[in-house]
Amino acid sequence: MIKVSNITKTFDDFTAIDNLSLEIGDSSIYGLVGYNGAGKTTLLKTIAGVYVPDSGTVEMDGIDLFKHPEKKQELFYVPDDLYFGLSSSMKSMANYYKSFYPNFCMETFHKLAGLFGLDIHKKIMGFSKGMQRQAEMVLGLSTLPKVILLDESFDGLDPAKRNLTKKLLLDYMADKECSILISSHNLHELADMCDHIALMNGKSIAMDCAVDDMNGSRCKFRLAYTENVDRNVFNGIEYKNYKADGKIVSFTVSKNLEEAERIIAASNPVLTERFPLSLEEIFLEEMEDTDYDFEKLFS
Amino acid sequence: MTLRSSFRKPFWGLFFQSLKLSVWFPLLAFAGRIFPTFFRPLAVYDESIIGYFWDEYLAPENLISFPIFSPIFAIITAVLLFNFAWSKKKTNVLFSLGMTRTQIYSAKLLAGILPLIVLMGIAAGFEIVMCLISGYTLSIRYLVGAAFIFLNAISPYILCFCVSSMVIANTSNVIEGGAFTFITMAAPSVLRQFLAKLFCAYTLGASEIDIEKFLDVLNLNRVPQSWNWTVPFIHDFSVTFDNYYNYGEAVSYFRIGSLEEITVYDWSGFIMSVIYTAIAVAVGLYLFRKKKNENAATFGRSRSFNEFCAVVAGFFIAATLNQKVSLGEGKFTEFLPLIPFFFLGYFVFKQIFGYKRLRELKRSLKRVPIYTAGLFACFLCCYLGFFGYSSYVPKTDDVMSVSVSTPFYKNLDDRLADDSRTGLKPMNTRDKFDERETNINLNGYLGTYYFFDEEYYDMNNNYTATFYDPDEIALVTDVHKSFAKDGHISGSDDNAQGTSVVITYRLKNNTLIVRSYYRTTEETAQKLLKLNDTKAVNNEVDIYFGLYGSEDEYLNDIYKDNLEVYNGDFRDKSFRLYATSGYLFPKDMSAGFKFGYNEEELFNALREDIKAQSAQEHYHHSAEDELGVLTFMDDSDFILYSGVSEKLSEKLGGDYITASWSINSPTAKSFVITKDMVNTLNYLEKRGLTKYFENVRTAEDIRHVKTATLGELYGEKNKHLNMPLFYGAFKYYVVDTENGFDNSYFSKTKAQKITDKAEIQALLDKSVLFGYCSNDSKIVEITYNDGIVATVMIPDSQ
Repeated sequence: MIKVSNITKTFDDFTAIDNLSLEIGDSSIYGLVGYNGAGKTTLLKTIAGVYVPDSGTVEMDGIDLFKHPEKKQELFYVPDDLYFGLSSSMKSMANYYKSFYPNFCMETFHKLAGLFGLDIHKKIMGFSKGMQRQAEMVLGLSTLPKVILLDESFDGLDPAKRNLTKKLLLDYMADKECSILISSHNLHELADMCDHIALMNGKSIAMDCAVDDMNGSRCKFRLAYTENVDRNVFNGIEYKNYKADGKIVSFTVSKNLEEAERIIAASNPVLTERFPLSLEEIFLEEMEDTDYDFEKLFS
Repeated sequence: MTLRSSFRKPFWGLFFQSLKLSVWFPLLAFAGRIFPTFFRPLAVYDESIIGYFWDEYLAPENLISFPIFSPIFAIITAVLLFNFAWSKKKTNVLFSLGMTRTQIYSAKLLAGILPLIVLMGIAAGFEIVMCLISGYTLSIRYLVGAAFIFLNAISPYILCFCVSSMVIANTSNVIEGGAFTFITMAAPSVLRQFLAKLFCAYTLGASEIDIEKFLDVLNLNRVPQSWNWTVPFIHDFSVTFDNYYNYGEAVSYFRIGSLEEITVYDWSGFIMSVIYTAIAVAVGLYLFRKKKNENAATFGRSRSFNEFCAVVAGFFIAATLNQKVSLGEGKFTEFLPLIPFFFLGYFVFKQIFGYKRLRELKRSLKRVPIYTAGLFACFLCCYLGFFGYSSYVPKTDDVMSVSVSTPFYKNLDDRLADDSRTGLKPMNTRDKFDERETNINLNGYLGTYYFFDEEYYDMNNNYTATFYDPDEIALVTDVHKSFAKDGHISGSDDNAQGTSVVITYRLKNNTLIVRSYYRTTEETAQKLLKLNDTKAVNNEVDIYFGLYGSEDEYLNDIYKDNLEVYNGDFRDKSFRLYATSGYLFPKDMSAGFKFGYNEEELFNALREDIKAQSAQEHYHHSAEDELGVLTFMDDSDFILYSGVSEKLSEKLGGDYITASWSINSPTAKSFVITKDMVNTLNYLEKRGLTKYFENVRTAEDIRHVKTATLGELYGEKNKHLNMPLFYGAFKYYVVDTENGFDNSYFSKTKAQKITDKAEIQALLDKSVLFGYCSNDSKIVEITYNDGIVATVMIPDSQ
C-alpha cells in the first residue's frame, strides 16, 4: 500500500504539486490522468524518490520511503524517459537490476521476455521505442515489486502489446496483491483496467474516485414529449448536463436512479432512453463546475 | 530477509557495477608495477635499496609520469562514475533505487578509490615477497619507508578523484562538469597567484615561496623539511624531483642512513592529502544529499560551485589583469584596480554560467559589498604585515644555518637590451638577433655581435650561499634587520634600489623561515654585497671553480649532514666542466686572443684572486685597475668570422680573432681582470699573455660617445632592477647614412652626445666593464669609426 500525505513540490517559483494526498491500496491499479504538465510525472518521481519533496511524506506499508529508502527495493519505477546503457542488452540490464532488487527473478524475466518476443541478448538501443517499453516492463515485473509506478508506459505500444501489457499487469496485480500507479494523459487508456482513477489539474487532485462507484450508478436519460415540457417537472432529480431541444430533453443522473425513473415516468414521456455513462462523460459531469481544461485531456 | 541485510545488497551492487568503470587505471598502474618486479633481476639491486618502491618510484621518469597521469585518470574515472548527475534519465534510475543519496555517493566513491589501493597494495606486497626471496631481511624501517612511498604514490590519485567527484557529482551538465572541475583544481594556484601579488606588494619580507607552501597545490617547489600544506597532488615526489637530477641522486636521498629520518615533514604531504580528501568527501556528500535532479542539464543550478568558481574567476582576472597595473610600488591606489578586475571576472562568469541571468545578476549584485570587504580584508592583512610576520628576524642564537640567494644576473642586461622606450640594445645576445641587423654588411662582417652576455662572471651570479658560522650568521641577520628597518621603499624614493634576495633560515628547532625582498635602500644593498667577504661565499667560489670533481663529492663534503637543504645548483655553479678554450681581450674589446692554458694552475690562480678580493674591490674597482677580460668557453659553441683588422694584425700578430665574433654558449664565463688579481696576472705574465690586454683603440678611433644615467635613460631609477650590476657590452653596428637609418642605442633618449676627442678620452679613462651601477652611475655608449659599438659604465665614484 502506498500512502502519499500532503506532498508539496516546487521548482523555484513554480509549484508543481501542492499539498497532495492519495492512497493506493493493495491489489489496486490506480490511474492518474491529467493533461501535459498537470504534475503526474512530478508526483510519480516524488513517490519514487527521484525528487525530494518540499514537504509531506510517502509511506509504503506504513514505512516512510524518504527515511527508509531501502524499502524501495520493493518498488519499481518505469519512467517516461527510459534509460539503458549504450551497449546494454536485456540480459545485462537484468544483471544490473538484480544487483539492486533482491527479489529479482530470472525465471520470470526469461518467461516475460519470451512472452513479448524480445531477444535478451540484443542491444536495447537497437530496439524500437515500443520494444524498449516492453523491455523495461519485463525488467520491472521481474523485480517482483509490491508497488509499480508507470509513467506513460503504454506510449508507443502497438494494440496487441498494449493489451498484453495490460493483461500482464492485471494478472500480476491479482497474483502478488501489489499496487500499481499508472499515469497517462489519455483517459481512454486507463478506463478498462484501473479500479481507481484520479484527475490532476496542475497542482492537486481534482477528482478521485473508484471506477466501480461510477459504473451503473450513473446514467444518461433522453426523453421525448408530445409538447414542450417544463423543467420543473423534474424537480426531485439530482441531474446534471440538462439539455432541452424542443420536445427532446436529456440529462445525466448519478444519484437515486430509482427515484429519478419514477419522476420521469410521472412526466409521461412518449419515449424514454437510458444509457450508461462512459468514463469520459462521468468526468465531464464531475468537472462541470470546475475550470478544468477538458479540451486538453481528451484531445 | 531483514531490512538491514537487504539494504546491503544495493550498495554493493552499485559498487560492483561502478567497478567496471573505475578499474582501468588501477589495472594499468598495477601492470606497470608488477611486471618490472617479475623481469628485473633482483641481483642488481643495490644493497642499500629495497625493491622498486625505493628506486622505480623515485626515478625521475616515474616522478614525472605518475603525478601527471594520476590526476588525469582520476578525473576521467570521476567523470565515468558521476556523469549521471548530468542526465535526468540516468538519475531517474539511480535515485529510485533502494538507497540513500549518501549511500549512492559513497558506493561510487569507494569504487573509484578501492581498486587502486588493493591493486597497488598487491604489487607492493609482491615486491616485498620478491625482496625476501632474494635474501633481503626486511626491517621495520624498510617497511615504514615502503609504506611512505606506497601511500604517497596513491594518495594524489585519491585526492584528485575525490575533488573531481565532489565537483562533477554536483554539477548539472557536462560543460559545468568540465569547467568547474578544472577551476576547482586550479583554484589553489589562482588564489596563490592573487594573494602572492598582494603579499609581495604590501608585505615586507614576503616570499612567494611561502605563498606556494600555503596555497599552491600544483607547485613543484616544495621546500624540503617544511610542512607541506598545499602540494597534496604531487607531494612527496616534489622532494626528490626538485633536488635531484637523476636516479642515483634521487635514491641517495633515501639512503639507508636517512631512512630512519623520514620525519613528520616528509609525511606532511600525505597527511594534508588525507585531510583535503576528507574535506572533499564531506563537502561532496553534503551537497549531493541536497542535489536536485530537476536541475540536470540546466546551467547555473549548481549554486555552490557556480559561486565558488565565479569567485575564482574573479581572482584569476584580477591577478592576470593586474600584471598590467603594477603593484610594485606597494601603494594603496594600486590595490584599487583589483576590485573592478575581480568583479569583471566574477560577473562575466556569472553571466556565462548563469541561470535566469537577469535575476542572477541582481542576486550577485547584493554580494558586491561582501566580496569588496573580503578583498579589503586580504589587502589589510598583507599591508599590516601579517601581524608581525613581515618584520620578524630570528635571533642569531636560534639559527642553525641561513642561506642567502641573490639572483642578480640578467637584470641590468635585460633591462638595457629589451627596453623599447630607449631603444637601447647594447647587450644584445644572439637570441635577440633580428633580421634587419643581420642584413647589414660592412667589410665582410655580417650580423650583430656582442661580447659579454649574461654569463659574465660575478660572485653574485645566481648563487646561494649557506652560512653556518655564528659570526657570519650574525652578518646575515644584520642585513635582514636592515631590510626590515627600511620597510616599504617607494619607487620614487631617491635611494630606492632594486634588490632581489631570498633569505632562508633553518632554526635549531628545525623550523624553516623564508623571507624575500625585492627593493630596499642603496645602503642596505651595499650591506648585502658585503656578505661576499665571508667564508660562506668563498666556499661558493671554490665550487664555482670546480674544486669538487663530482656532485657526489660536493654533497658528501658540504651537505652530508644537511642534505635536505641542498638545492641542486652544483651544475649551475661549476663551469669548469664545460670550459675548453680561453680567450683574452683588452679593455677596448678590439680583439680576442685564443690561448691554451693549464687548467689547474689558471683556475687555482683565478680562484685565489677572487677569494682574496673584497666586495669593495670586486664591485667598486677603479677604471685604471681594470685590465681586460678573460673568457672561457666551449669552442663548439661559438662562431668565428673571417677577416682580420690590419691594424690589429700589425700590432699583435699571432692567433687572434677580431672582436666581431659571437658567443653562442650558455656556459661561457668571462672575468674582468684587475690589477689586484696577482696570481692570475703572474700566470699570464709568465706566458707573455698580458700583452693582449693592451688597448689598441684610442679616442681617435671613436666617432662619438653618448652618456646618460639610468634615471635619464628610463625616467626612473634602479627600483625595478634586481641589483644593478653592470656588464660591459660590445656590438658590431652600422649606421646606414644613405638611408638615414640610425639605430643608435641612445637615439631615443636625451643622452648627451660627445664628439670632442679629449673629452671622449677622459670618459674612456674613467670607464669600467663591470661594477656596481648606482643611480648616479653613467652608462656610456661608444661608437667607433668602423661602426662597432661598445657600452661601458662610469661608476659614480669616478
